[in-house]
Amino acid sequence: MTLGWLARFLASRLLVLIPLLLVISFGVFSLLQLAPSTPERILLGGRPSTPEVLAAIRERYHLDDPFLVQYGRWLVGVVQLDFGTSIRAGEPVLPMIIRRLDITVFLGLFGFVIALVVGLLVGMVAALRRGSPLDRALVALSVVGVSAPAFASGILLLYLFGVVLDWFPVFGAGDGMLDRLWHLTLPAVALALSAMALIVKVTRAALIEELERDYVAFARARGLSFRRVLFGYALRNALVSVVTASGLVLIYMLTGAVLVEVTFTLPGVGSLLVEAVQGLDIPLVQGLVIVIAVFIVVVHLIIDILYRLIDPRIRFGGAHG
Amino acid sequence: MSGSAFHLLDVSDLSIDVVLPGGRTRSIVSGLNLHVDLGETVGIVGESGSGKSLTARSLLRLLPRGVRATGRAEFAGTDVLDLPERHVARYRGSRLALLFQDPFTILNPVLRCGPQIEEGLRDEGLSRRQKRKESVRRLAEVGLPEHIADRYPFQLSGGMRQRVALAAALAGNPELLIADEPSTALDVTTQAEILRLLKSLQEARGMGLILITHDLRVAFSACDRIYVLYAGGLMEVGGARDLEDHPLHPYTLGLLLSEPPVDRRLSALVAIPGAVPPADEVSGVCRFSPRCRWVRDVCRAGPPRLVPRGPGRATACVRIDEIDVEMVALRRAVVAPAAVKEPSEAAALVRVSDVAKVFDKGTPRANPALKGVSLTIRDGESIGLVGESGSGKTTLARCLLGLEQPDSGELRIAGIDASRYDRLRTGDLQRLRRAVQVVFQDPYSSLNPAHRVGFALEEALRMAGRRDDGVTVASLLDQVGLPAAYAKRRPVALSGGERQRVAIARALAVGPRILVCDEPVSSLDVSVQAQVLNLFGALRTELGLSYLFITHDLAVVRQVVDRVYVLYRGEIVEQGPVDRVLDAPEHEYTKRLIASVPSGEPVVASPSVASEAEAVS
Repeated sequence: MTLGWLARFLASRLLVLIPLLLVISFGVFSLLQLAPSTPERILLGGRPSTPEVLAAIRERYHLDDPFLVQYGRWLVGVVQLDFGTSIRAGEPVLPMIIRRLDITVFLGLFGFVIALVVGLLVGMVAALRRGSPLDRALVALSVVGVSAPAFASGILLLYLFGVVLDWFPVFGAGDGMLDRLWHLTLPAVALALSAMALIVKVTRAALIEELERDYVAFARARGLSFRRVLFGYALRNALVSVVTASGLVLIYMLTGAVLVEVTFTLPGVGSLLVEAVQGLDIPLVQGLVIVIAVFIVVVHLIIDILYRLIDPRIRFGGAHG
Repeated sequence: MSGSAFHLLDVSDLSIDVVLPGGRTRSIVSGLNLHVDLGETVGIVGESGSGKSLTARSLLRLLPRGVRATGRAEFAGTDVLDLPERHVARYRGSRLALLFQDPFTILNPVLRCGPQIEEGLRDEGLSRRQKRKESVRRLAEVGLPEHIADRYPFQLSGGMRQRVALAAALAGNPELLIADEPSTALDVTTQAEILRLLKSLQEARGMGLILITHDLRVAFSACDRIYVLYAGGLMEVGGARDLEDHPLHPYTLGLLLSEPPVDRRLSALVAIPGAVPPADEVSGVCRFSPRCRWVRDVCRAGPPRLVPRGPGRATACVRIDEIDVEMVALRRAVVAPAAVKEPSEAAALVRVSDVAKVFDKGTPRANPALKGVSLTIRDGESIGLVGESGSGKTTLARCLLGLEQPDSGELRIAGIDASRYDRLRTGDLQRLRRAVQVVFQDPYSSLNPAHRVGFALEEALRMAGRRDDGVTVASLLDQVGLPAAYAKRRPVALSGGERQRVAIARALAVGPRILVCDEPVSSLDVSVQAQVLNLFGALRTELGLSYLFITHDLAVVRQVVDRVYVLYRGEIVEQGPVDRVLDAPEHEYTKRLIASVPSGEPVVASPSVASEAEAVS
């Protein structure tokens, strides 16, 4: 199979994504103007201001230039990975984000894998036993999961497994692979619980639909094994829906991390965002929002590529059958 | 009934029931006896609701949840209904295989065709290359070239997909193949090819073949023996030739008479009244008795059993001795042909001039649907537009209705320029909507399920402002042969034929001058088809309507139209009075269409190669 379609697809998609990111960056830059108080006061932080200091700041940040010129200058910096300097910490924004990124990425991926694996399994079992008491119990449980916000189930998990049973640590991120896994299990489960319901529901509905299809009956009529029909036929075709849902779940992992990191006092990007917003640290907020936007765009791109790998009908742009 | 005592498949007293919550059951099929031998082709003929497809599935142990089969089905001496679950997969495909109706849904859409065949091969320990070689050989067996192995199903035409499915069904070298309506979803010319291919494979492999179909003509042309199934019970069994010459059950006769003949026009078809009832409602009596013209109390005394009558024949009609003479007489009486209306001299109601339409214009997938089509419909004329899928016939209809816009050319309807509906003035648009109405193919999706029949008709009347003319919901229903009480029903409570009648009544509500009918009877059962075709004939006499009948069915064309246009790949290739075109076709394509209609004559088995007409889409 040639990968020509992939190159063509990426090229066509970038034509859309780059303008999209530009629009987002423009919105993000406008934050500085829209924030309560004036830009120079924000940039000054809580420090005492004199007219001279304010003028110096206006001079340093070129605040007297027209808005678009300021935006252009900022954008040039962003493209070169220069997001400016944090007001609170006084150091460049990007290294600050990167330092906190590994915990969030670890937590997000951990939660994502739990949500996906358990969600797929539960969804499959429910679909195969559709209509049974087991199916109804699983669906009901996943509704409970989605109804409980991550911070609430997080606190419950903390109390149960951290305090009462004392199996897992109640705060901190741990050092080294195993220790980190141990420290991040409860937060990852809390994150996964609320996202899993989506995977369960989508897997169950899509699989039930596929199992009813003619080609599944025809495969069974030809004597193919149950396993082959389930995985090679029904699940394979149900995957398009599951991939869509898992993209949403992956994005949720990042936004959900804000709550969970605070609940479990983890020094990740989520808690950094909370600190930045509370401290009106606009350059840091801008940097974080850009990073998150790029992440979301990349996830969507990956999903679009996965669709094409899974379903040849989308790959070949065939509208028929 | 047959010579040998041991059959390849011997089904006795098979019953299929739905098990309802609470343990009650609803009968779908009961008391079915059937046998097939190696090298034999057996037909199961039945309309929707006869239970023919579930019977096939029960033999493969593929019944849906909550449906149960009882009785015996011995395959080479083993009762398959009793087979332990772990042996079932080995039995499926290698002893008995099932080919489904719809080639568009039967193959795994994300798997290439070659591997789908390879999966079913039963030879152990084949290398990858050997498997590939074998699948290519199997593709050649069904008349497809090697490169098809690397294609995905969606890249192939319906006929080619059905060939791939057939190769996949035969991958395990079964001794018996059940083909469930294998050609129904295909175009006419492709249908004939698939039937010939099935016959040739059956002969070459010496296997048994059960052909399930709703079409008696297909069964007559392909089968040695035929079982006639109705509402879950066998009505009649016999050799194909015997059954065709001398049916021994009023239902079989009714089916034969309902089937519009392609070679002559009849003044009216002899339709079976009513619709196929649910099997459960008629399981205690002769199943056909509610619709039978010869019904007496004895028919309702209990469920009749099949009684042998001559070699290889049996009938479930308890009155056959009394009514046989009448049945023969009825059949003779209806063969008298009717004349087609003289060519009309009336003014043109619809004039289509040089209309062209290209879909996906300017893209690599650009698809010219219409390439300069011209046709005329005179006031009061009934016109047929004949073509297969992809011919552009539906696109032309949609242009007439303003659902598509032609790229070029002119459409005039009742003196109004209808080329661009969006540019019409309100008054003209209203006049146009009242002049042209449409009846779609599928009455299940063309009626809003939330609206009662009365509401739908009332709404149409209100839009047309015709309530003052004395036209009422009741009069509309009466016009299409439905009782006024039907106004209170919702579509869900109606049979397919009744729904199509309501759809016709709705079209008539605005008092149109022409009805565009897009395959209006092709989704209906044969016995109901005849009723609706008769209705179209009656409405034309009564209201002086014009028709544009869009169809692939030449027998329907013969019965209801005066002149016919043959559309092939967006161009009109032939036109003329219906008798001239069907009796003495001039264009190569028209000839092929006519040759493809199953006539009831035995098909000559031929290992055909997929024709050019089914080129990769």
